[in-house]
Amino acid sequence: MSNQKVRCMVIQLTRLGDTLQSLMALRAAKQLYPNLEIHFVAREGFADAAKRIPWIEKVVTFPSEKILAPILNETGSQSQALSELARWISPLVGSQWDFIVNWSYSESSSYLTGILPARVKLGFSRAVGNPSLANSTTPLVATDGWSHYVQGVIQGGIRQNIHLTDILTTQLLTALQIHVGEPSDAGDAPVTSKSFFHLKTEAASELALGSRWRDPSRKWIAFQLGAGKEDKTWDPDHWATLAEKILQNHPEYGIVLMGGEKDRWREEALRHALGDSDVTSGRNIISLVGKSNFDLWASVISRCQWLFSCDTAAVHLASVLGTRVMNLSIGPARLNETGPYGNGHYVLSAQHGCPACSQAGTAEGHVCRARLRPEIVYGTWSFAVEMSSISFNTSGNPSARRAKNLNRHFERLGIRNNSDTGARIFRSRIRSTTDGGGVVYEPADDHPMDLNEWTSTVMGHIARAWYCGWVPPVGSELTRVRITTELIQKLRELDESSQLLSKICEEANRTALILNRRSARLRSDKVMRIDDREELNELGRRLRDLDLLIERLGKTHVPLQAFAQMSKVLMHNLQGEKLANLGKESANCYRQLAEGVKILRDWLKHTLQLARPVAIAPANPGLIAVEGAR
Amino acid sequence: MTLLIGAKGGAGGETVDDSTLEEINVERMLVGFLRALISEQFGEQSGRYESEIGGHA
Repeated sequence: MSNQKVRCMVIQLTRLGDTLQSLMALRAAKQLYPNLEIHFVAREGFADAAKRIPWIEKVVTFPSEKILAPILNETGSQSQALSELARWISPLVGSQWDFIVNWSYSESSSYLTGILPARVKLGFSRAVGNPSLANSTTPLVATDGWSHYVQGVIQGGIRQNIHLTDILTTQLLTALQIHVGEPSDAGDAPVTSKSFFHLKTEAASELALGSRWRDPSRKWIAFQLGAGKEDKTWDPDHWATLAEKILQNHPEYGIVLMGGEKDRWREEALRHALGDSDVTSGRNIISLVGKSNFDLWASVISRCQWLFSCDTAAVHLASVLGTRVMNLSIGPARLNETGPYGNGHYVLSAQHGCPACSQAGTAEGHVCRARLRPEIVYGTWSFAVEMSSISFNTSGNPSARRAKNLNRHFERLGIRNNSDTGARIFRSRIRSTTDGGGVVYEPADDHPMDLNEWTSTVMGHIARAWYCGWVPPVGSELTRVRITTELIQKLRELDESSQLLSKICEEANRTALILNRRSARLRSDKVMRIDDREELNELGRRLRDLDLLIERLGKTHVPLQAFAQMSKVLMHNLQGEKLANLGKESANCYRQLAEGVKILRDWLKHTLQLARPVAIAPANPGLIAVEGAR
Repeated sequence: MTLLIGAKGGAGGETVDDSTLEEINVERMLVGFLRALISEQFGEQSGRYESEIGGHA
């Protein structure tokens, strides 16, 4: 790899949580490609985090408020807003870029990516239409494989288990390897650290936290009250109960309350619920609610041993800073994609079976909020603290061992948690590349696997096989004890349809190749013999019918939805201009889908095989005992 | 509207006058950018682009 600078612009026009995930991915890229010169575009309200990164060359803030406010307030015209937009974009367009990386995955950002010139573009962009035509359009395009996956699967609402940070990291590193060359050897350097940001914390703010805060022997837990939406929040009474349990049983800890101005009422309700006691006095609970800027917020979380939070940007901030997280996942959330990144974080989720979660209901309709009881949260955290300090029996599968130990811990504390009607508990772990790489959330209890979780696991495996080749052995994430009769029944129903889907994809691949060969013989795509035109039309009709069959199978079976979505996305993003090229590209797309279906069928076979009754040696040789799925 | 734009492939920038085709295309893109920003402000964009995705033509 040469020492020449590689100029890379990263566009992140979404919110702080996505910005923090992007920064983790960029850190990994910068470690491996030190000559990467990173320019970061962020909305002005969410740019502080990027501005505190020493290895980012420049942060460009997008003044969305200034541009949109006149239109929204009806004090300005669209023409004025366009002029403002053009003035902001002008210096960016005038620069030379090697890479434009659009990690916003939004329609607006696709236009920005489309306008800016670059050697390589990743993410959503715009196809350049023919400007001489009055009705020429500039449709949205996904420029690379991972972007197809984001568009088809993730934004298609289909369950999958690859973390967004891992997707962004792999996407960028792959592109750098292709266009720039092999990376430097960064060893196993972590992407998270207490010194991730260069923070400017004022001495007055530190003093305001009190002398107990500066006591180096004291341990601290941050409670991030509130969340972006009401249906993702936890009741102040629950926070209060949790605080009381922690402070009564672990006097070495103090609690810092965090949140914005709008969370002040939560703090008041929490303190009211706690009442006055020595344990819960001001010496042990500090508040920064409504008082901190980004620097102080990050500085405090960095100093804490743990962060307890619902699904907020604080989870990602703590991940970046290496502070352990208890993520209380309430309301609709896809923890596999946006959970805390790193080893040893815990996610407690109660959305399974919550009608409001699956239908995006109001906060009141969410039974998950009541299911996530404070004693379950306390039990999980106290178990994690114990695990850090004493050693358990080290034989056998670590995940299964941890599940047994967590159950015993709950029994010892008198906590009852039924994983169907209570919370499901997951622990994060970074896998080696031979096991699939990236972060996974392993069940810390042995709750049964449902079809959604099975599908999510299989989809993650398929995506890795498609785009990076880091695939674990089929079924390595499955344990027999979690397979239920209900799951087996649903998988048996899937067997025949998946076999049919496999045949459809293979037939479509063959048809597209014939289309490629026939059209390659023609001199022109527009002028040809009638026989040739009829033959091409027939091939086109056959492909359309096969597409419809793929779509129908996707509607019938949840695990097959991804293939229907991906088929649409792949066809939409074909780039060839001549019919022969389109035929060849289509054939490649169907081959990709067929490979994915094969992996799904391998998983199907493995799971059904795993669930078969197995004879075990009984204590009484006269009897034969049989163990099967529960 | 006059903009500094780069040629395709990232090869430098040049000032263009109001009559060029590239500028018309850039203006169209800016209009699209602004409209998308307004839609997203009102939460009209769900992140799914079904209207832009079709099968074989």
